[in-house]
Amino acid sequence: MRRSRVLLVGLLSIGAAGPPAAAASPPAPGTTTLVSVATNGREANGWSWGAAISANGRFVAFGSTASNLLADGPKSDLFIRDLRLGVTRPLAVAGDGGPTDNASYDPTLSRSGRYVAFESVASNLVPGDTNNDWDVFVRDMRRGVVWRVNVAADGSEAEGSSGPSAISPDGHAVTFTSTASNLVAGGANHHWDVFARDLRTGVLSAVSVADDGTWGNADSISSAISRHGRRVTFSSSASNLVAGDTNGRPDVFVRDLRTHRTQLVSVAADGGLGNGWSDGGSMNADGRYVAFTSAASNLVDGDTNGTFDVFVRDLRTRRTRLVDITAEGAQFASGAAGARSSPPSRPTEGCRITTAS
Amino acid sequence: MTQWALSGDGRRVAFDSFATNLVEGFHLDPFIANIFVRTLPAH
Repeated sequence: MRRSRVLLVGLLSIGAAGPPAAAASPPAPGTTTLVSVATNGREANGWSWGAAISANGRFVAFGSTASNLLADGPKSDLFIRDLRLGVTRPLAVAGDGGPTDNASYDPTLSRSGRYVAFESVASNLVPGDTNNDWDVFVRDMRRGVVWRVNVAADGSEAEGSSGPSAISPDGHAVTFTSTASNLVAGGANHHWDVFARDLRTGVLSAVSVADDGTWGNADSISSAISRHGRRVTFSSSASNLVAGDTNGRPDVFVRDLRTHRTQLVSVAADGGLGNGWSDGGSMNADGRYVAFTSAASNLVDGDTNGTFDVFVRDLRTRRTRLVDITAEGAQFASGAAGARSSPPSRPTEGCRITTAS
Repeated sequence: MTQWALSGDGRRVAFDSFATNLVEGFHLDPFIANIFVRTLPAH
C-alpha cells in the first residue's frame, strides 16, 4: 500500500509574473506536465536537469544539452519555460545577443520569475570577463539585462571560482559561494566562503563569518537567502562561527546581515550541538523557517531511525520539528524506500515536504 | 539523484526524471532526462 502525506511548513504569497498573461488553461491539479520541450511542443533531444520554479509555478528554468529547444535565436544551455504561454526561451545569452562561448549552470528564480541567478564560465555574458573562471550572474528576463554578481567593490574580477548561487524571492539579493579571496577585505582564508550581494545598493557582504567578522575556518556552502536579502542560511564545516562548536561535523547556520549575528540552526533538543552531519537547504521568504537535512539523532526527541531526516527550525520560537514522517507521525525506517530524505534541491521560498512510503 | 524544487505557493513541484510514462502524447527517450512539473491536488 502506498500512502502519502503533504506537510505544509510555510507558504508565502504569490508574486506577479513577468510578461502579460495570455488566455491559457493552467495545468489541472493532479496532473504532470512535460517542461523540457520547445515552443512548438517538440521533445528535447538532450538531457535536461536542475529545474527551478517561480512562486506561482508559471516559469520553470532548467539546464539542457538539447539542441532543438529553440527554433531560432542563439544556442543556449539554460532555458526558461513559460507554462502559461507555452513558450521556451534561452536564458544564458551573450551580451551581443548571440550564443555564449562556454557553459552555464544552476539557475534559480525570483518569486515572479523575472530575475534568474546562475553560474557560467562563459566570457561573453558581460564585457570585461577575463578571469576564465566560474562566475555568478543575474539576468532580468523582462529587460534582457545581465549583471555579474561576484565582483569586488572596486569592480575587479573574482580571483577564484564562484557558485552555486541563490536569488532572493524579490530578486534584489543573491547569495553565492566562492573561493576568491579578493571580493571583500580579509577574505584570504583559502576556503569556500559564502557571500551575499544586494543588487540595489551593490553592497557585497561576507556571510560565513562569526559575530566578530572572523571568517569560518573551513568550507561553507549551500546557501539560501530570505526575501529582502536580510538572512542567509548555509552549511559549514567551520568550528569558529559560533562559540563551542566542537562536534567536528558540518552544521547549518543563519547569518543576519542586519544585526551581523550568526546563529546555529542545527541545534540539539537540549540546546547543545547536533551529533551528526547537517546540511543546508532552504529558507522561507521572511527567513523565519529553515529546512535542512541532518543525520543527527538528537535534534528532536525520538529520532531513532538512524538516517538522514528533514527538519525545519523556527528561528523565532527556537523549536525544531522533524518533518519527514508518515501520516501517523512515525519515522521512516532506515533502509525503507524514502528513508534518505532531503529538502528541496533548489532554494525555495516555500517549504512543503512531500513524503511517501 | 533527482533534483526538485517547490513553487512558492506550494502547488507545484518541478523535477527531472528519466521516466517515459509520466505524460502522454510524447515519445520520450529513456536515456534522456526531462523536466516535469507536477501540479498538486488542493488540500
